Amino acid sequence: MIRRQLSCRQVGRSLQAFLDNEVHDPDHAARLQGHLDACRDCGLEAETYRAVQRAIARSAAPLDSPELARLRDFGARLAAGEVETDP
Amino acid sequence: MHRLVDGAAWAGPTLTGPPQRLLAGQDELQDRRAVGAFGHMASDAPSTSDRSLAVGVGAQPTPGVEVAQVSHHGWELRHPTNNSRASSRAAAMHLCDPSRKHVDRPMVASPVDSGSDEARRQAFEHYVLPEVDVLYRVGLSITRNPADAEDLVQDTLLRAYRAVDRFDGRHPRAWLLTILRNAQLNRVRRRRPELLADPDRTMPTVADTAPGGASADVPVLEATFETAVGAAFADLSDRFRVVVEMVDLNGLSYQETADALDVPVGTVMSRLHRARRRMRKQLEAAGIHTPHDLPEDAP
Repeated sequence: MIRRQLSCRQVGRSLQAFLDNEVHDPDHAARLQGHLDACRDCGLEAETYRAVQRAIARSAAPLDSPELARLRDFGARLAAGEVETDP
Repeated sequence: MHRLVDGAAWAGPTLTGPPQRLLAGQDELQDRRAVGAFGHMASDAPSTSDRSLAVGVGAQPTPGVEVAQVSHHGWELRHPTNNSRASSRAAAMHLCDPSRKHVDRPMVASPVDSGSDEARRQAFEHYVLPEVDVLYRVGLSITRNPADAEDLVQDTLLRAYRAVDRFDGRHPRAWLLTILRNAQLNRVRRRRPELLADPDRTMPTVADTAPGGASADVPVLEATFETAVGAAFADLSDRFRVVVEMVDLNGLSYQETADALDVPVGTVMSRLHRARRRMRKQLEAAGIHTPHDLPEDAP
């Protein structure tokens, strides 16, 4: 079967969902990846979005906060039946 | 299907009296409705109205966990090696390990004496404790304040504990995010009853701190790429920034983000994609280009 190649415009419509692993049709995902591999402009566009995503992800606050430690302990005490749970 | 949950969540009456007690009851009812709605998603699960522990019926067992039938109508989880009940506090703390990732965590246990505290605690350990870290991150994104996030997640954990015996075992994160959203709505109503109806206003505007930080005047020309991204991110309005946070910072899927914010998935996609395009344009306008020389794991 001959697959029609996607246009840059078509790729642009799905690009962010593809980068978020939210394109669930494997055939469409493969065509998107093929286009990104072959098209310099779209490949650079994808790389730009990836770089922005990575920069944001790296800005995440560390999760070893006292609040989270207390919440983990609270959950453990709930599971151990040590917390009064009546509303 | 999720709209059933959403519909239930927003079906509360306008409250005018001293509402906290009533709100708590009403909100818990919403959590139960959410359970019922998710129950509809599980075609092989029994009705949630039969008071049975409808968790993971027909699902695949979780690796490392065995199921032992303990009575003619009940099951319990047992550790495969020592055959002991995994309900100690130490074991529960282990379940909080953030490295324990899962999205769908079917537990083979049912139909039981669902009123038993032991069954409830086991289900809580299995479905809820591994999600505490994600819930806290989402709580931070919504409240923008560690103390408020802690209160919100603690409330969410309590509600989940009360409702877990009616949870069908599918998509525990989505179920918990729905509970968290209801808990947050309850908090907002207590504080600002005038914000009853508009989720776009209620969720992000709970922020105790204004975004304030960067503005268009930030000298991004001299900034590093990441600083420029941070400035563009901070310039987003609340409704856009919270969606980016949910996906890029908290690692939620589009559907999970929709569950947490009570908006349709299409709205999540639209806002997320527009937000990123906006950030990208701001970077371009400032002459900041992609740092292709930065390794992916650079600090």
